[in-house]
Amino acid sequence: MSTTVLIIAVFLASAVEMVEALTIVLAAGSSRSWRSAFEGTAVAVLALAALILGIGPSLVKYVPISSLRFIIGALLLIFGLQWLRKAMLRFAGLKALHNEDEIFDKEVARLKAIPTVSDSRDSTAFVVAFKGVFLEGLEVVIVVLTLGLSAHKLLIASVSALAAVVIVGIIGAIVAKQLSKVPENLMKTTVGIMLISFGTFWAGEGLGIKWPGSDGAIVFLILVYAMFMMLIVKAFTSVKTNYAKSHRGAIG
Amino acid sequence: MKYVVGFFKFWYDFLIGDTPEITAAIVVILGVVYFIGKGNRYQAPILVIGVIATFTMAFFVEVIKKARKAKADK
Repeated sequence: MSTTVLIIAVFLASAVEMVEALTIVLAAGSSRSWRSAFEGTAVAVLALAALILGIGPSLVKYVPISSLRFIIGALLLIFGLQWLRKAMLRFAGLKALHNEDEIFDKEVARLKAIPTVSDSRDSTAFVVAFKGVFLEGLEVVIVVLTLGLSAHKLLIASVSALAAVVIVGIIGAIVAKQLSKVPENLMKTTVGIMLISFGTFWAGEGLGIKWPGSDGAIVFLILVYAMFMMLIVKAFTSVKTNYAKSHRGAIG
Repeated sequence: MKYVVGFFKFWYDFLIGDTPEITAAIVVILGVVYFIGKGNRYQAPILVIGVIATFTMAFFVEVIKKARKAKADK
């Protein structure tokens, strides 16, 4: 059961980050040079894979599993709560939704303004694509390492992340400039809830908690957190709407 | 030196960033769960309720910030 949840969590987290990275790669490719943008992307993906292969096995070898689970659990809790907070604010209408088409247009305009050097390679496209993929991918590396290591399923987590990168890449190439149609906030909310559920589970195990139902407790935690998150957003939205009606001016 | 600063900045932004209240709350909750002791039956409920309280608090901290900003802008 927890393996399925782990695969879904890693896949969704990777897909969300890759949608953001793809926007940058598409902007660099279409406005500058496709070849350099793809080279920058390839180098970034290799660097990220090297990070996973370099850090993952050493951590498992040298750090005791209970300490590893506690530290990873705490990291997942902080990381997941940051994702969830932003997603809740977006659902409540207090934060603008991520618009990939708008980001794409801004990035293209910015890149077109940079003069082109007559060379077979475009260093701007390379650097922009590399930075975009590497920085967005770092979050994926953290998710893969934390979830993969604590569950002793680093390979499964890595394959799941790679599958997301490939699928998002293929879909991205087909739909090109329609990335804004991806339900990013819903995906981010799901990932946020999954990360805090795994975080609670692993941090608890690291502190000696014996969860009822063993790994099945993760599913219970997901349901409980999702329910409370929805209740809070729903309650806030309804209070906000009533307040706006009676005072002619809403918060935010 | 630039890389050392960059390394710590990355981890600071990643762990604390603009939401120090989340990191502080998690440190406190995990500390409480640790101190009440292994095998204590209240460990799990405290951890789960603590996490729910943290995301509720983080959400409303931002709501209050936005409400204050809206009031100041008027």
